[in-house]
Amino acid sequence: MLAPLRFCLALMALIGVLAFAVPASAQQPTSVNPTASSVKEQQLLKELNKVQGRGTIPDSRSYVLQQPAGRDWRSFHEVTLPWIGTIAILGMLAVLVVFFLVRGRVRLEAGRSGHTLVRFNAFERFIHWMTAVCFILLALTGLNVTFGRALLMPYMGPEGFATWSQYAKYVHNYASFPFTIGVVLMFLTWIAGNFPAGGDLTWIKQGGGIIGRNHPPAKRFNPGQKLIYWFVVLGGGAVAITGYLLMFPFYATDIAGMQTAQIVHGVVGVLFVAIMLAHIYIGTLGMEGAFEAMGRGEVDVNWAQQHHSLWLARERERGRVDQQGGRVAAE
Amino acid sequence: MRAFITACVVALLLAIAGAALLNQVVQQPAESAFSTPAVRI
Repeated sequence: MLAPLRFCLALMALIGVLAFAVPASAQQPTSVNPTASSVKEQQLLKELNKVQGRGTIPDSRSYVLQQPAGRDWRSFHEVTLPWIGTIAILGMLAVLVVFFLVRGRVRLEAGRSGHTLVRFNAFERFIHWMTAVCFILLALTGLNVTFGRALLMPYMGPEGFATWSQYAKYVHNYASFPFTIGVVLMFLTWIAGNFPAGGDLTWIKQGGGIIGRNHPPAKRFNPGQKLIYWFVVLGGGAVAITGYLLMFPFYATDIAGMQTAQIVHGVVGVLFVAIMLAHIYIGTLGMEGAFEAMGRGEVDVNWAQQHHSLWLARERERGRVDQQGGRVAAE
Repeated sequence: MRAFITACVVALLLAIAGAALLNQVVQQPAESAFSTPAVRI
């Protein structure tokens, strides 16, 4: 008589235990998602445009933890800019190699006359070399920011790369001062000869004597040199201004302004490097007698006749070159 | 060559002058720029 009763009690107890042991989720409608109404990070960014908290250190700008534009900037800095730099610099190098193989060196067709005339005086060469030396330092240390981690860190190791990058940044900051002064001096010294002139279009149509074999007349600066000049002045001005905005954070602009400044600084910087590669090529390997202009300051009269015939004629009018082509006026 | 050497020397001097100006007049070390007197990093 007791056994069936015990069995019934045990069965009821078991049902009761099972009823309470069922997972809570099974007791609710399956359509409810408990996290559906919680605020996601993306929603926060979308609504507030930034994730900002409170802090205790004096710099209240550090309270901003995230902003969507920062992610866009990071993507540009880590992906887009390296691609732009790689295409611009390697592309320019490839073009120069192909050009050299196809065209070869631009030779002095009449040979050397043995007579020279002053092309750039000592002050002009001084500002050119000061700007050039600083530019090379700025280019190498700047490219380190964009490409150093991928290209150098595997060989230098993290600690070595960090130390090198720290000193490279110092050099980048401090070399900017003489570079900026050099750009300003270049602007003031050479602006008179770098405005567009009447014969420029003809020079361009004839390929400047570099593409093709004609040597169109040119004044002291041909259109190619004018292009370099204006890129150095405007591009140099752009990297200087944006560089100082970054060197002095929050002095003149906010985070968004500095992100824009860095984008301009990076893009103009890598284009600057690419264009200067072409400038260095044509001033050294690409054209016979060209380096002497900025090296010794004097060029052969036949070189001047071949590449800057209008300038040579003007120098003759001024009495700076005698009838035999020899130099009259020393610098 | 003389112009080149002069350019290098003047560039170096200007860079040193810029560094001195930055370090002594404009910039502050991080431990003083980003801390209060009560909380020093």
